[in-house]
Amino acid sequence: MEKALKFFLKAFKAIIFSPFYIIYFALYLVINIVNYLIGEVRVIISGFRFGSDNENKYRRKIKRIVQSVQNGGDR
Amino acid sequence: MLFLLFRLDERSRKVVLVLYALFILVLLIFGGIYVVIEKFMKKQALKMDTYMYDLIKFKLVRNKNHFKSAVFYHEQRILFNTSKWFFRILILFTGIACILTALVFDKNFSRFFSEFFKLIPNFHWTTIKETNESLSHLENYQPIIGPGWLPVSVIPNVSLNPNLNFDEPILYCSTVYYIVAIACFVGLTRSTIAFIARVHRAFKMSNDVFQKDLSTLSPDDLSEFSNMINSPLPNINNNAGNNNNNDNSNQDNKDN
Repeated sequence: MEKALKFFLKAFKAIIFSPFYIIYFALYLVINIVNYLIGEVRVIISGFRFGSDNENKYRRKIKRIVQSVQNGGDR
Repeated sequence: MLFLLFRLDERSRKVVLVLYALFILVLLIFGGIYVVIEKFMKKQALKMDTYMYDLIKFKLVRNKNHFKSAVFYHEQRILFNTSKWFFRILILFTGIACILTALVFDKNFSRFFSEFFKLIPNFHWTTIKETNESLSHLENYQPIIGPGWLPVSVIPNVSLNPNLNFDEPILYCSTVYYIVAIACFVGLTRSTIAFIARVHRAFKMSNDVFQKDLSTLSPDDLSEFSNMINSPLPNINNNAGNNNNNDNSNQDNKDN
């Protein structure tokens, strides 16, 4: 009973706020499109390395820290 | 409401029941969509933790703003990687469709892009007004009480579009194009919703991760901290001595 009530409350929420959800989704879809276009340019500029593991500066930093710790050094 | 139902005659009662059924159907559809999207978003939001966990663990991220910028740095790449092929396929197929229309279908672009919609069947719900009008010639006919626009049945009359011609190749080309476009759109929707979920969690976690709670701070922690400050640190003294020596040597060098 409680589950059914929760489900119907969610359904009401979905019906009432659906126009706002659609607008919100459309906004993020536009961000997705812009991000894709910028990404394609960056792929060409970086020589197809954009989005790879080696291109990610944070992953490179983590690798460096792990390697230095393995070699007995300080981070 | 139940009393009202008992007072109504048989046909009107059926209409009210149909309305109830429609209402519950709409609720079930919306509720189902909401639950599915909610589950998907909860699952996707946790993916933000997988790439931010190490950054927090190795103290590469130290404050709220840096946390957000690191999330956006990763999201730029994840969003691009998850949606790039959908965009590429969509652009490729749109290009092929335009070339095909220009070369084969006499540059009739509007027809190519609208032909697929002819496949959608016509749904018609018989309303109270139509039923009353069609049966009014019968003797002793009691018209159904209720608003004219109200459907008398949940199940609609389905009919194909009369302009639909299955012999034309443009219909098949248009259908293939739209099936690919819809598949790509579903993929893009998925990646966008996942992006929304991860960004939302990032905004929430940027506040929570760096939040310090005094109520959880025990006196033992404080005593450990004070011991750490008061205890003599020989390394520091040595370093300090070395630094002094270095300073002196630097000064000597400058003097020379």
